Amino acid sequence: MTWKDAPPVTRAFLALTASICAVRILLIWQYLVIIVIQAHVPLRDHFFPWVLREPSLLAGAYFAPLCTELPVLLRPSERRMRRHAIMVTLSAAILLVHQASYFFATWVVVFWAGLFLMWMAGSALDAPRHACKTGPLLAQALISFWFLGGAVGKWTAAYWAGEPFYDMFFAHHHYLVYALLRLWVEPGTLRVVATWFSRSVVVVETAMAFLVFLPARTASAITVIVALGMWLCSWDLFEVAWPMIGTALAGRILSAADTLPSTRRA
Amino acid sequence: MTLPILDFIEANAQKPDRAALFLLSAMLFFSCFILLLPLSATVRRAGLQRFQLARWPLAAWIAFQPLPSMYNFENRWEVIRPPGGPCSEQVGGFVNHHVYNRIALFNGRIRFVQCPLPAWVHFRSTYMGTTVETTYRLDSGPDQHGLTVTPVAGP
Repeated sequence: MTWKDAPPVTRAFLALTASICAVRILLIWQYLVIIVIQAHVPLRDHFFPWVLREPSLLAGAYFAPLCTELPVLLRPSERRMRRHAIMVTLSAAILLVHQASYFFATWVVVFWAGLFLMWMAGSALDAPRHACKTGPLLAQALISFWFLGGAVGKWTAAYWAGEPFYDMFFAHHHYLVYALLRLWVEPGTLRVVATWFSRSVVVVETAMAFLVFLPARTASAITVIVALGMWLCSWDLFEVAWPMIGTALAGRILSAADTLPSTRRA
Repeated sequence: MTLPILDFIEANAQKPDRAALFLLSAMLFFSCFILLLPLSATVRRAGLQRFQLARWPLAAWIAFQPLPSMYNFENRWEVIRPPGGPCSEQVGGFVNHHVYNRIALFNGRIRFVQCPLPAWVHFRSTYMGTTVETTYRLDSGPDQHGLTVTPVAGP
């Protein structure tokens, strides 16, 4: 079965899987470094038990989904989709609590996207017509939820004044956009730019929390634009932006299929 | 043009999709804690302590790890090292989220190992009038292998 011939639920599943797979492949080198350092510079602390410090657990959780990711992308079947959805969710759950990876927002997004994949590979495949009515809301709710989590924590005076973003990005970050801004803009103006950037982040993230109430097509278009904007602001945010785009596309595919006269089963 | 939220309600009124309802309920459950942050000092303190790995039982911390909290709160850190050596005696500034990552992150670890030890790392997180502070002491691990991190009362 090719992507073009695939039914909507399968196409939505593949769009989200492809976005997560792309992130995993791009992060391979970084995770190899993390695994090597976890093995050679161990961190003994009061919090993490030995099992959550194990480099082998980290390696397994990171690389194992590739074994199901690639087959399902090349030749999707009901069984492969189910196996892969469980694998992605489990691996993200482990990475979310491992000492060397728990702080990466990537695994929060991938964990929830994995649950969405499990829904697609389960009840959506069993009742595809029904899924085209329920799936778009789930995709939009996930995106709203992720942004709500980011927005509420930024409702502070310092974020409104732009202090954290100025310190973390504008003043020191090596990313090209910030390096060029430091070259081109006076320090005083740079501080003002940081303030308005920070305010726009707070406002946009808060507004995105209401995405769940929008029509599917509008919601997916806005998500893609905002996620691309995030990626532009910081290159390494692709690891969060791409699965968001994948989720938005999955919702869009399912909503478009709802308007078709018939929806085939996978 | 129909709204997905109305389609969802209509479809589930006809035939409930348990998996979809479970997923939505899980999101609503965690959203309640997010929305309680500005309203409850207890939730704020717990949220700030979660980032500092302080005063949270491991099982509860694991249960709340799926909570999205990108760049939450005003988090600052400060590192105090013994004088001498190539590293600055004092480093500090804003940190994004999960502040303990300054110690646990792979490049952070390498920096600590290359500088004189012990070092004291102080985290200060603030949100809407609630502040949580934690200090960790970093020493060389057994046989000079890796790092040992111990929470302390202060530097």
